[in-house]
Amino acid sequence: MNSELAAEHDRQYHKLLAFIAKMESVDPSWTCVVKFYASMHLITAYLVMKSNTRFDSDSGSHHERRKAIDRCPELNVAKRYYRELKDLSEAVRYVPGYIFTAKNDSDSSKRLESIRSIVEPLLKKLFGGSKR
Amino acid sequence: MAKKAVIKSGDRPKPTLTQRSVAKTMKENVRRVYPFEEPIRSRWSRIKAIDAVYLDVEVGTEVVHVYSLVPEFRSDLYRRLESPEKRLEGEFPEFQFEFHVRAHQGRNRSFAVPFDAQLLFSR
Repeated sequence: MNSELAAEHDRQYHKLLAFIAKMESVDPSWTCVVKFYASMHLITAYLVMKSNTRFDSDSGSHHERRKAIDRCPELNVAKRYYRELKDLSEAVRYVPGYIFTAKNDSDSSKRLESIRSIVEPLLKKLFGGSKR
Repeated sequence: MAKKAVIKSGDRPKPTLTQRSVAKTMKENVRRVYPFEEPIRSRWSRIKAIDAVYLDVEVGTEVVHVYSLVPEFRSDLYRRLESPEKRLEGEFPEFQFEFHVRAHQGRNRSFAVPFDAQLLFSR
């Protein structure tokens, strides 16, 4: 059950990655929002898959997700990058007239890459190579 | 001869619907002061990079959004915020805190937060 749900989040993550590649040159600011959601699905897949972490992925609550991330010391570094990406994507979504800078663009790409480099191997290990 | 209407000193005319509605709104607008406001004000104001802090409480759910406003996003701020945030959550476990950093980019700071957020401190 958990692995099925985790696989769904992982599929969504890969779908968003493909979308980022298409969208990047069109609108960098909204691509940042997609980068955040891609990282959210990747981390959620990991949290759902990790058997000793209590996390209701249906709650949709960022607070619950953050608490679950806090319970995973292996995500200590990733959680900072995740938070930066979340704040940046919120600025794009909610702050009228926010000027999305070239630095924001480059930072958001770096943050997503860092999260991927940490979480993807952890998730792959949990899937045990059986899924793909 | 027409009789003059006499209003006894103890009588008060009943408030109109509009007056009652205004009074109700005024009562609702009296803002609740939360116990975590002062700790946030004093601890967050020690962080030089933060220009202002706004608070937005979702009444009923006790979800508390804390917005730290900075001129531009900077990565080093997050490490600095970890300790006061963790401390606050430990002191007030009955509330669910959601911490945000927003960049005002030199414009009106209140534009960077939800319109009903309350200013806790500003410099």
